[in-house]
Amino acid sequence: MKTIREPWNREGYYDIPNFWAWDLTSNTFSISDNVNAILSLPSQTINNLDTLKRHLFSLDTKWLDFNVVKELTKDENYFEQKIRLYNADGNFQFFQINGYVELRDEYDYAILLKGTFTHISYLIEHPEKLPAPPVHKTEFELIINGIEAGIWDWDLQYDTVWWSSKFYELLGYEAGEINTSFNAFFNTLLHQDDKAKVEQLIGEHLYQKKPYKTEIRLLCRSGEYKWFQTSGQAMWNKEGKPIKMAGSIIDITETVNYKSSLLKNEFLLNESSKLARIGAWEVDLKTQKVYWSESTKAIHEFPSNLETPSLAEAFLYYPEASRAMVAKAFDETIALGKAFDVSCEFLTYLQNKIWVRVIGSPLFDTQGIIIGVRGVIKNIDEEKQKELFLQDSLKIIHEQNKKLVNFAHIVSHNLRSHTGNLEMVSNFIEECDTEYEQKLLLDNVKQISKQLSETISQLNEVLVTQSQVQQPKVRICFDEMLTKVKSQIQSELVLSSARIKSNFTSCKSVYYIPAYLESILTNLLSNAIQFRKPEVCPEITLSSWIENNKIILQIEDNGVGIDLEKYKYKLFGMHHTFHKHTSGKGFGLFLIKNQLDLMGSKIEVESQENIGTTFKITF
Amino acid sequence: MKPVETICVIDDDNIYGFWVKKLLVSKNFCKSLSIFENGLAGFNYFNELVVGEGVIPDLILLDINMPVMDGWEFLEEFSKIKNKFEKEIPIYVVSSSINPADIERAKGFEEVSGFITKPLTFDNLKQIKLFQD
Repeated sequence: MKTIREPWNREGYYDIPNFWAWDLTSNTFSISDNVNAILSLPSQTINNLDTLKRHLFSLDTKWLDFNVVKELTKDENYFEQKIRLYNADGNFQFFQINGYVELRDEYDYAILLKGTFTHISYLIEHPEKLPAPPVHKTEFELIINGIEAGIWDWDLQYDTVWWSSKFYELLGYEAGEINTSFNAFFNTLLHQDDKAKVEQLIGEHLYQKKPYKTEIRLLCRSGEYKWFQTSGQAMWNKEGKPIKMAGSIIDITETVNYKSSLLKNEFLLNESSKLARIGAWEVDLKTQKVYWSESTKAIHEFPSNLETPSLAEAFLYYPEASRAMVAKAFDETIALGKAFDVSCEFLTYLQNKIWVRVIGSPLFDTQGIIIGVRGVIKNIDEEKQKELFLQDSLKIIHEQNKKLVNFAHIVSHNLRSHTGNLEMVSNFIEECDTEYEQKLLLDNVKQISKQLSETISQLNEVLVTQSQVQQPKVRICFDEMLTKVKSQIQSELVLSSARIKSNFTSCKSVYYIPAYLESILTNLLSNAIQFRKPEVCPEITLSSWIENNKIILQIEDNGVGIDLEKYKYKLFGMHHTFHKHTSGKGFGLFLIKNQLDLMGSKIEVESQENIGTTFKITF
Repeated sequence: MKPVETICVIDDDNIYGFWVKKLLVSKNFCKSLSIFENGLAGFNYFNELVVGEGVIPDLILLDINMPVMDGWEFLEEFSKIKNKFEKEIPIYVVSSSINPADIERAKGFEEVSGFITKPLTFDNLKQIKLFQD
């Protein structure tokens, strides 16, 4: 074998125009440089198998495949094949390859091939020199011209293409106006981005017999690309070699535009729902199937790879408190065709509590029967939290405002009543003739100034109370605090022979500001003693317990009681007194209400005249 | 100006009570004066006048903030029996309040002829129609 391969490497061998040789043992390929000249390529651009394949139209590469060629030459010494090579301008040039087997191995496989190549584009591009185009029968012709599809017919052996007049028309040409070669179709008309796809699909159809149907863009006479659906069917000869392929093109520009605008809208919708945190849902009443959009799943924090849950499961995302409301709204939509719009708390797949707004409306079939419910779900947690925060702030502002008004009232009424008296009394200084009157006047001035300073110190106490809210909270034992308060009001207790009972076993202590608790206990106990029934020893019972996770302190007395129907709204106001012949100043309850409000605690009162009063504090 | 026969003062403040009496009598606004320490005491007096004998006051000077029965409650109760008197008794609310809400509320009662802010002086007594000639 070596002796035969020797002349292979001889220099100048490849100068022979249109010569090629292929050593299949070493897979070495040589070709005359003339091929580059024909293709207007620089010398030596194509000089081996790789560089040749690079310029070969992909459908033809099989003819240069090692294994294909080996099989092809198994029983034949000679072969011929047409191939297409790209020239410098990117157009096909047709070549006829003729080859023969120069050497075979012991299994009769070719190991050295030699041959020639001939440039035959001229013949291909001048079809008049080739066999006439296919002749269709009249009925076929009518059909072909009548249908809204362009028909094409491609003779693979001669590489000629025929188009129906509709084909030309679809591209905006007169019949026969342009060159219909496969070269023109593939390299001029077909959109750059569709080339690879068409190449692959035609190859798969011709050699693997897979169906050929795809969507392509073709250049129209107007210079714009239109979308076509094309399909085709090849015909194979006895050896399985494709010899012919025919098919159609249908204008689908509108469909594609419609589809792409649909896709665009869907994209916009999806993106905006994501941003707005709105999701769509639908329930099919017949199948009980639930549909959730991606955003709906996102709101539920539901893994998008899981299957949408059933209707019953979907309801479980609403915590018990809101489930009944949503279920009722949903049932009413089914029963009465009523749309609903509810906002409620919601528990996501990841157990996060959020607020959602769910809107639903019935879905009717053509007979007007409700067949489903469709709607949206919106994550309104941020808005709701803001709203709740605002509500809280509003409540605080409202409370503060009430206090300010109360303060204005205190200044308007309580301070002014003293200064008014002072002014009135002083008007009489010159007119008091008797010693008695003069003494009385002086006494009154003293009394007024005492009342004035008392009111001022009370106002100060309110301000102090307000500032005490900054003090640290500590754990306070009710027992210890009661002992402390009892010692402070000991004289009152002894004078009135009051009996104080306490039961703090259920709840021994509270976490609170000591100054406040002290003030609360002192005021309530002195009130109970002050408003005792005449001739009856005051009996005061204190107890504490836990109710709804909150600490309760109750102070019960057997005093004169309060007519709550009349005084309910005045009870905790400043300088409102309700009893005759007492030294009530109408300040204690006002002060402790202030303190409790500052701490967010609640005070309730129950009372019956002549039986007693019960104050209940919820810390 | 001729002094009226009787003025009725309803006010729980005894300092005010003493000096208003001195003012009204010594300045010759009235011949006699009755003082009640809260709305209920005042109302009881008028209620007894309906059935029994007694002097019907020519004028009522009414405080607002009082224990047991305040000025507002007195006005409500009084409106139920006022038609039983042979003459109309003008009522002036005399209060240390300068709260516009109180003044508005007082004007809301048809029995109320005016609102006087304390202290009561010779000059502001002249606001009262009876003393204007």
